[in-house]
Amino acid sequence: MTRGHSWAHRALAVVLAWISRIVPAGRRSRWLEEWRSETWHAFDSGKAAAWTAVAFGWGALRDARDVRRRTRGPGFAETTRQDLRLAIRSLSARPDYTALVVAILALGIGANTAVYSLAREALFAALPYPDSERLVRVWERRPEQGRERNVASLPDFVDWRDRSTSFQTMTTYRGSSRNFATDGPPRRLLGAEVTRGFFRLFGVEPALGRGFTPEEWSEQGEPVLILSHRLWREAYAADPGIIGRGVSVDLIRHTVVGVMPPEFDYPYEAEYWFPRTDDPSTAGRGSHGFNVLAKLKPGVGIQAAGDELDAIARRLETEYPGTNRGHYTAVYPLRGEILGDTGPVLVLLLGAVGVILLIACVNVANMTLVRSAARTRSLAIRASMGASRSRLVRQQLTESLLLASVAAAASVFVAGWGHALLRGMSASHVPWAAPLRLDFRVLLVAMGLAFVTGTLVGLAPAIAASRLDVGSHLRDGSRTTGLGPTARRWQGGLVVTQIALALALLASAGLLARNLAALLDTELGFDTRNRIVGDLSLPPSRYSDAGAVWQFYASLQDRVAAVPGVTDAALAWILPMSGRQVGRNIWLEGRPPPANGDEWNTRLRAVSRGYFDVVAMRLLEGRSFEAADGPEAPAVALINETLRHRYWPDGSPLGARVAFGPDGPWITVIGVVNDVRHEGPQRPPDPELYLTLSQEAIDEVSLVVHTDDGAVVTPAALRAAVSEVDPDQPLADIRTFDEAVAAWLGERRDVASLLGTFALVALALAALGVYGVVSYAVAQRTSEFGLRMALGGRGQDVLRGAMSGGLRMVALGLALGGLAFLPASRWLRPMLDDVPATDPLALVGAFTILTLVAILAVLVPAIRATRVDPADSLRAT
Amino acid sequence: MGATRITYQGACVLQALSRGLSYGFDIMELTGLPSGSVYPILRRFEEHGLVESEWEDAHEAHADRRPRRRHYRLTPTGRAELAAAGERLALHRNLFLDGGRTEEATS
Repeated sequence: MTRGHSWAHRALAVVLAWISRIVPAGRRSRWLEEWRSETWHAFDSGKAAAWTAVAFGWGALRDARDVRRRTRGPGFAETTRQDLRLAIRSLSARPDYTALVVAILALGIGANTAVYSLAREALFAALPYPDSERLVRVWERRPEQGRERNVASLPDFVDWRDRSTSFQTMTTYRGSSRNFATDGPPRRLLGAEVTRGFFRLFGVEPALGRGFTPEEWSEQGEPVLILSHRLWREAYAADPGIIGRGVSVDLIRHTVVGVMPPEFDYPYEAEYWFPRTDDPSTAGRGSHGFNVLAKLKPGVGIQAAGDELDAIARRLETEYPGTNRGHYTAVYPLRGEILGDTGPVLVLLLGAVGVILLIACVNVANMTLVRSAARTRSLAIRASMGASRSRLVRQQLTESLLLASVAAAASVFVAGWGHALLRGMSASHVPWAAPLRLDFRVLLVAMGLAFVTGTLVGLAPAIAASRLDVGSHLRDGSRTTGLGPTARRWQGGLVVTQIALALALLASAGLLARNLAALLDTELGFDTRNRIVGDLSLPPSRYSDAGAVWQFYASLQDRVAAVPGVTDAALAWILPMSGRQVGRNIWLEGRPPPANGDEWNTRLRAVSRGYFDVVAMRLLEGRSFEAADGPEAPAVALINETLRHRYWPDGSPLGARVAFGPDGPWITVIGVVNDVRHEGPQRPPDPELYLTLSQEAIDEVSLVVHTDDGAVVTPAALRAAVSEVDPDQPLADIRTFDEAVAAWLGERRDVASLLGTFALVALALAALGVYGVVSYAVAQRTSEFGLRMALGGRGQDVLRGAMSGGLRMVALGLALGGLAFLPASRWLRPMLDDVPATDPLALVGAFTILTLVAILAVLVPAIRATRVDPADSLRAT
Repeated sequence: MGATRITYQGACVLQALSRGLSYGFDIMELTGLPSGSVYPILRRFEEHGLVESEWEDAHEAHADRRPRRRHYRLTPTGRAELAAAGERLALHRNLFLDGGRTEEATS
């Protein structure tokens, strides 16, 4: 019936067909017919020009949109209100289901919110200083020794500062440990000696009093200090009159000129700050001990600044070859330096809680699916009364989102609790003490998670339910209704996912646990049981000469050893696990000098007589320090195995002489002791040289006390012993050696236990999921089982029939989980020391645990199937 | 259906129908309204019972070698609404005439 019309009309016909898709399906064909007919006639009459085709197209579009708008039924708000009312009614009809879903989701959302808020602090939050993104830390770098972060010397710092142009401010400080006389017993406190520009760099001013004057910065005039807010509060009762008063530090009167605001305690929980001159003549170029901080000029990149400093360091290398050979610089953002290596840990935790949430979602989706199957009849009735599929899906989604919102509200409590828990664990990793803030961003995340969760949870069952063959459900009139094949496939897929995720998490936790176990098994080289340690620093004002120091140490060692319950006591400068290291280059008598100044670097220790016995180290060759090795006797030293094998691989080191310079003074090696893991079990031992405290008057040592088995030696008893020797001398930071080692493993342990907890939650949720699905399937087939039993089927066959489906899902989930874990385990690598990321035992262990739990979850409902009373089940049909 | 608010364009469409026109395209031609206005107006009037429509016989159109058309006509309600609208539009006309005089007076 087409007559030849113009190309314009033919094009219009195509456009109309395309536009007609806007029109609701029920009215589409008539709408299209009318428009085609009208335009046909318009063109046929010759009254329509080619350009009117465009006008017709535009008109048709407006008409189609109008039709669509007017056939949409009740408005969005009205529908939502209806859906909400319906959702509340149906949820309160099943309080057990509702409570379980809310609990599972609140746990998942809450855990995620807690970890997220911690991660936000640690990964994204800025340091609490103005322009903190421009703050950097400058280190000396010695690539030939593989050392990236070395403290600088004062003259080097001054040259860096004065020759560079990239920085607005550069300043340096060194850690300090001083004895404060307070109203009670004296206290040893940690703080810093800071140089000009330190406070300016951070943009902080004292909250009370004033900063240091130029005279004070150059250490002219009377001694002064600034107190931390915490020390001012705790030791001086927050007395504003403290300003201008004298405080005895190391037995010298210092005037308090200021108190810093509470949020400032850099470096790491500093209690006080002394001014120190930055005159380079006050320290040698070879004497390293200065921490360098700087603030970049606006617009200067860290890379450019680092390159500039490195170039300066290379010039210094040629100017001062004796001290600076191989010494370069490295510049890092201060933020990362303070936080350390928490990035991978937090990413791992975020991943793990994400998996938990996913499993929780899957679980709830499954429960919802089963529930919607039970409601098939009501859905069928609604569908038969004209509710469209999208309407039914929307209703399901509303219900899910309502559940998720309630769960999100509950999750705020879970998040608060979880965050506090994490903070307690990570106090050492997130140094600035910001109080927990569940601010709106965190809340936003919880809401976002709730929305995503609700959609995930609601969508699958809603779609599955909407595909149900509504008519057949009404026709067959059976009272029990079941899931259609699509829904069952969804359900199976969800269970498989759940098991796969749980396996990956469990295997990850297993890997970390194996690593921790390996670390704990590592031979430390010394005994920590029944050992108590404490720190001492002797004020130079009272202990100005070596004789006074030795006298004090000798008396202290005898006095402490006499405390009831104490087996023996010793003193050591730089204990294992103290986090301190001092390295020096050594020269060997009769050997060519090292080609490079740093080649023969070794770690220094100094210990008192009896130290090796007190910490149960073994003497392998030669002899230990004796009373005869006094100040006047020839200088002697012991070395550890690593040093011995490095320099005397064949011959005996005994009698060899070493020195800290090419010309001596020479120190004779008298013995060899075993290696210790000085920086924790993760780190291999370094070469070590042990000097004796009776020949080296070092004024900062640790006391090590070996107590009798079962004896209780209180810190008070030890303090009393110290004050009997010197009443002004505090013994600080008294702890057991075990605690010191545990603190060293702290992060590894925390992460492993946290991930272990997550894995257990995942395991429980997955088991719940399997159990739920299998019990549902069994319940669906009750009549079938009953019939089989009635016809003489054996319980065994029924059991096998009931279990087979569940076990297939479990097997598939395990296989997928194993595949997923292998690439995911790469994320764990930064947290592993001794165990390879591909360690099979963790995967096999996780596999076994999950298999056993899953079989149990399948078995319990399957056994129920065999107990079906045939008569009952047949009657019920 | 007294609540139906009839716009100026709506009144034009009703008026065209009352003149015996029955196809959308003819109404467009007479009133000068675009297709995007005429068809939605016709649908709305039909929903509100001012207008009724009928598809012509398919065989007839087929014999004519053209697609069948839908034709619209006024219902009694539509006729009454048109009369009411006509009165309102007459008032509008006065308004415009008054406006014209005022303009003459001030210039």
